[in-house]
Amino acid sequence: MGFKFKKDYLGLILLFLILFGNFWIWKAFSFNFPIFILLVGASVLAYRFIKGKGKLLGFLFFFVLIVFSQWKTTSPTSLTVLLNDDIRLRDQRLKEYPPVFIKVGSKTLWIPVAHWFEGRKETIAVFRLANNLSEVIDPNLYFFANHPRERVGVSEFEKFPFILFPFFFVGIITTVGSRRFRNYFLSLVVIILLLSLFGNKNELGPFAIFPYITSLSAIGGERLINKALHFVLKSK
Amino acid sequence: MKKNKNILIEIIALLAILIVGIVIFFYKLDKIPSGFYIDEALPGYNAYALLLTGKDEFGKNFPMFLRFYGSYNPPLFTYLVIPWVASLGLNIFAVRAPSALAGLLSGLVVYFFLKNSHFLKRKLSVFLGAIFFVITPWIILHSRVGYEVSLAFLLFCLGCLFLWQALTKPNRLILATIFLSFSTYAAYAERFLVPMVVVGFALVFRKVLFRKSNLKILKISLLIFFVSQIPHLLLLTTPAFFPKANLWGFESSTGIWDKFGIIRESLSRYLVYFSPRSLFFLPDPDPQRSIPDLSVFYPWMLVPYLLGIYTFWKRRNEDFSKFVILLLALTPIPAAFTRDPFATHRALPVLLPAIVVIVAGIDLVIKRLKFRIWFPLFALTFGWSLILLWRSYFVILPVERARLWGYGVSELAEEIKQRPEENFLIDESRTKATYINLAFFLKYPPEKFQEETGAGIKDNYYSSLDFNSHYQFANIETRGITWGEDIYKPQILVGDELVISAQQAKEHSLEEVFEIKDPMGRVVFRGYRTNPR
Repeated sequence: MGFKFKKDYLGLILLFLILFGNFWIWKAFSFNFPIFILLVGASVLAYRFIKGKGKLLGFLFFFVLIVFSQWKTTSPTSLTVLLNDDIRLRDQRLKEYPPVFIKVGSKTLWIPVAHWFEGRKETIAVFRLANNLSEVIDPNLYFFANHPRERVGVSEFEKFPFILFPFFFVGIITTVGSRRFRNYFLSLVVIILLLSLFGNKNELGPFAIFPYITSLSAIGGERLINKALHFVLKSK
Repeated sequence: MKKNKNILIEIIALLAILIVGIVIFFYKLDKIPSGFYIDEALPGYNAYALLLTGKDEFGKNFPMFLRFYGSYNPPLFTYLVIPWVASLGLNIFAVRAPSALAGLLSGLVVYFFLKNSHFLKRKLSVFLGAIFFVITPWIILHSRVGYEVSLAFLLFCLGCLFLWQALTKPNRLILATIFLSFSTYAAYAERFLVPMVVVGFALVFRKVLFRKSNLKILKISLLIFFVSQIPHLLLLTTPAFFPKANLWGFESSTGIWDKFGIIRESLSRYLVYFSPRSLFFLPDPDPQRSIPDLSVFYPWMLVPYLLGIYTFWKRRNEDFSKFVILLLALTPIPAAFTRDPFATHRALPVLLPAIVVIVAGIDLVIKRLKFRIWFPLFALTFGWSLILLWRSYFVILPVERARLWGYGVSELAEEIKQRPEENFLIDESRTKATYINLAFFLKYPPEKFQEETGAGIKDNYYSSLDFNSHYQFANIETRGITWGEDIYKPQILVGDELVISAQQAKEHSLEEVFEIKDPMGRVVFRGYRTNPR
């Protein structure tokens, strides 16, 4: 048996510190108070759910509200509409492809590869979805304001102190494989996919991820600190 | 019988990897990337000079670091280009081929690394890992070029393979030492990375390595390492050993960078080499070092990457996991401490542990899913990856990135060849240095080049860091145009459309002689004859 704090005091203290000791929550506070309340509530419920104390229904309730607010506050960006610069690039690229064809006997079957890749709306949508997805799953976005690969035309802001990253990493890696947290991670995947769909052009960024980062960082921090204390006490 | 069958299967697997690799690494090697970058021309022309005279472009006898334009590159690649230039002549293919071959061979090394790991649950994962490795954009981009990083990567991979094997066969430590030590003579990143890997390995596996029975091998390996590092030790105190100190990200701290800031800065740069956005979605921010719309891995590889990280974490107490985690932790360090936000050429060693992680994820998928699901899944992703590669690397890159790859210099050399009686002044205020590309394409006799340009550098070879782009050889001069003087001399002024505008040409009565355009139709060089009368 390793050393452990009595009850869940350490976890709760950590959750409190992480929840209110980051820049993102205070930005939410000044931007939109209901969202602030929602994020605090969802974070506490997410933490309790991981701890096996919360009900799935309560967590799902907040989950739906957060997704709704994220959708309502995000500026809609089309997955297929091309701006002037995109049109120029598309037209340029259409000219770059070599002619692709198959010869069957005397018949030549032309394959419009250039159009498939550069012109079709489905392809454009896939590239944009991938781009949105990549932004949401980048840890540097949350812990380093996207440094050193800041986005052009986006005002990046600090979300969580970078020292929380090891806590978050340990939290995610120690819980992700367990069947107990299947629903929790399933909801995270759904949020990520939805954010990929409607983007995160929003003053607060992809804030629907917030409760997951706070709860997982609190869990990870708790485990790391318990391990460290156990190690220190054992060596004494 | 079963053993023979296994050998046959392995031979077929290796042949398949080789065939796919040969096509991808050597198809139109001299045409794509279109153009010839200065970093390729430097080893190319210096190999030519060393072959014909035994001296580099400055007249230095077989140098231990090649000065080039003050970069003091590790010499191994240039020396390896010599036999290729000797047998194929001085051309683009001869310079790029050794690098492409190194990339191809690293595919085989990855195969044996995975096979020897005994970590994967399915034998097929080894083959899939190697075949996906040879179509990975990261290795393709840096192998189909005439510079050193893929050679260094091959040597580093060989070193790591033997290092891993040394845990069960201690004699392999000698081979590991040789290859790792050699890799430090191939590229900068390895020069700093290898000592870290060696120390880290010794610490993590100290109980195995420092057994009494291994002490003799350890002593021999140390001796080999020391002897093979003598050239480095001899030059350790010269500026040539660390000429890229200005790339070090934190040397110019001016008060804003407090200690906390430095930690944050270095952590963010380090973490970017694990970031899914950088590894699977965004290309290297430097367009010359990236493939349009393609990152260093394919986007679908994100899923096995995440599964692989989870697998290694779960099995972190196994020796192979410890080794891979060690490599994952150490390989980004040299790149992370430079100013570039994501330097794929310096971070190429990351490719080895990263591909192993991805393969561990693929292995997990094969283990969990039925054949009728995973087989079409991987066949589809393989095909999709090849299509993405074709689009980005073989269609878009040669057109859109031609200018960045030095397109037009070979055409300019042709124009110069046609007019041996006239003098050319090539403006370099807006372009990368072209002197070495011109010497390369003109096959300018090295002994003459050394005589005309090497003065002053040969004697202080290892301390001449400053680069002066003013060169004068044959009927060529490279520098910025001085309008008040140069239009009064009979010569041909060469520059792009911004250097010499149509209005300037009219104003100074310049006569247009030639125009060189890139595949996008943009003017790369325009030549104007002056009219002093």
